[in-house]
Amino acid sequence: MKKLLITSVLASALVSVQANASGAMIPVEKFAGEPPISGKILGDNCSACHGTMGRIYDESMPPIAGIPRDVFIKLMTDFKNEVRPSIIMNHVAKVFSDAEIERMADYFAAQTDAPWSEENVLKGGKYE
Amino acid sequence: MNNLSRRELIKQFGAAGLSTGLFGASSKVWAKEAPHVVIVGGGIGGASAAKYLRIIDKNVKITLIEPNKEYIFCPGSNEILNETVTMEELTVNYETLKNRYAVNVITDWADDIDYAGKKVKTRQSGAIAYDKLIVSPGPDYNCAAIEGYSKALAAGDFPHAWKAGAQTTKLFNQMKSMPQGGTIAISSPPMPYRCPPAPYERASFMAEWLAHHNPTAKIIILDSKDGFTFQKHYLDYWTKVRGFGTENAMIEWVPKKDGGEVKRLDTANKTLITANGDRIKADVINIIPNHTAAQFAKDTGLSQGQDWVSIDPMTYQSKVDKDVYVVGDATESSPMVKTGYLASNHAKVVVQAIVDEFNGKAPGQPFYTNNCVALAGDDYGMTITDTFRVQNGKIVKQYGHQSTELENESLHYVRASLAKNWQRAFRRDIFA
Repeated sequence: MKKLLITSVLASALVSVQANASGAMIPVEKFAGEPPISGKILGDNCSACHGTMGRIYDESMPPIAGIPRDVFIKLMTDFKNEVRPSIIMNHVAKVFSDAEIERMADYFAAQTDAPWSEENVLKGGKYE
Repeated sequence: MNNLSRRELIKQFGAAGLSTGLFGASSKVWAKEAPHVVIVGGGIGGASAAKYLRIIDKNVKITLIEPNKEYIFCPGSNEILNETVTMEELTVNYETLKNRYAVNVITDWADDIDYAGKKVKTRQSGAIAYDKLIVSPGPDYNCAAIEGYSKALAAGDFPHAWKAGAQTTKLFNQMKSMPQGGTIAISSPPMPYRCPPAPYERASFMAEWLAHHNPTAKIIILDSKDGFTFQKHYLDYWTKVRGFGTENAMIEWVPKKDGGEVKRLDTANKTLITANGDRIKADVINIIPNHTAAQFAKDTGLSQGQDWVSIDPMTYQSKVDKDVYVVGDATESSPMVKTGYLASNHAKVVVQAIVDEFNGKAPGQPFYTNNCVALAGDDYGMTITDTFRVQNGKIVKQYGHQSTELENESLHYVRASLAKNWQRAFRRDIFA
């Protein structure tokens, strides 16, 4: 019991002396002087989790290819505004402007809603 | 030349008028005028460049020069040490890039660049002409920064295992054959190095394995830094499950300010000597070396005598030659850290800029994220969300967040699952 207590005191002391590793966010408006970023360049940052072009269907992180534009916008805006609880997406989404979310929505709405593994990369469409 | 006219050319010339030498093995035929993009290095940066270039341009010729027939993913390779992943799961080859993405893969070493002649010199395959060159050589390990350590020792009895492969297996076997109650000493390097939380993840996984097989063993981390990524998570987890801070601690961490910086290796006595003269004898010694850009970046002048390669953050174009682009760990990309996640995102920006230029367009505005994962144990994951934008030609960190929920244990489990999910999805995004 005594040892447990010591451990827990130590643990809380450790936590309190660590600086918060999370820095402040620079509001996206501060970057307004730069040209707009395309939906593709923004959206291709999602591929490590959501698959190439958002087309991964057999992992816990959901596919986003072919997602209706308004659904994507609603989801991302709710993540961004911390309305919708999430494991990581609120921190992913909060860096984007509304216009950027709309451009990503257009990009993903235009992707084929089928696994990337089925895509015939050279000819387009599915493998025969 | 735009995409349409290249397509027209392919239609007109069919299979007859096309160069078949270099690309003879490919099922795809290429117009003579099709531009040739050559990529040096088939790791995460290079393979991402090849795949994502093919996705946006069906008509460009792509050649990848890589000395190895297989690539073993570094992300996820610490899991060899707690036996939650196999080397087979981490290993990919270049067949999919060859067959599905029509990439001409040359198994050879690139030794030099002839900038004036726009050619890459290879060891066995002659000089390969390029219109655009993407270089993704990764880091080199400066073992000699620690007196008494060397690349030869790393390949022998003192593996750094900071590139997944035979050294990783050797490190695992050394831990496995260590006597009960033995000691592992890990030397953690100064920044910058690839995957900042990985030395602590490595210690965590070793502790997880030892807890089952050698519960009185100790791990001492000798650090050349005073802090590290996900520090509060690691210290909290180690406190809860590894007795951190007590006499029975399985893991001990000595920061630089307490004399943790390793200066010398005494191989005969299996001892590390720190900055304040302490001698730490260990059964297993794992020195994670200081990093610089790979030798290829130095030999070709791309690093301009510096440790890292300067690039234009708008396109990752090198400062040495306008037709040469450099991506990944070899680049000076601060405030970005060095991760495979970022290397793949550099590559996507480069290939878009190259295709834009082929089509007579100015490069678009880039965007880079490092939304990555790490583990403290098989049941404890963490996530990081870093966003970088380019403003006035400089890389600016817009946001950086590390997961914080120390009080909610179920979330750690969810994040561990997410981390493993990410590793599988990431491997497929680059190589499948």
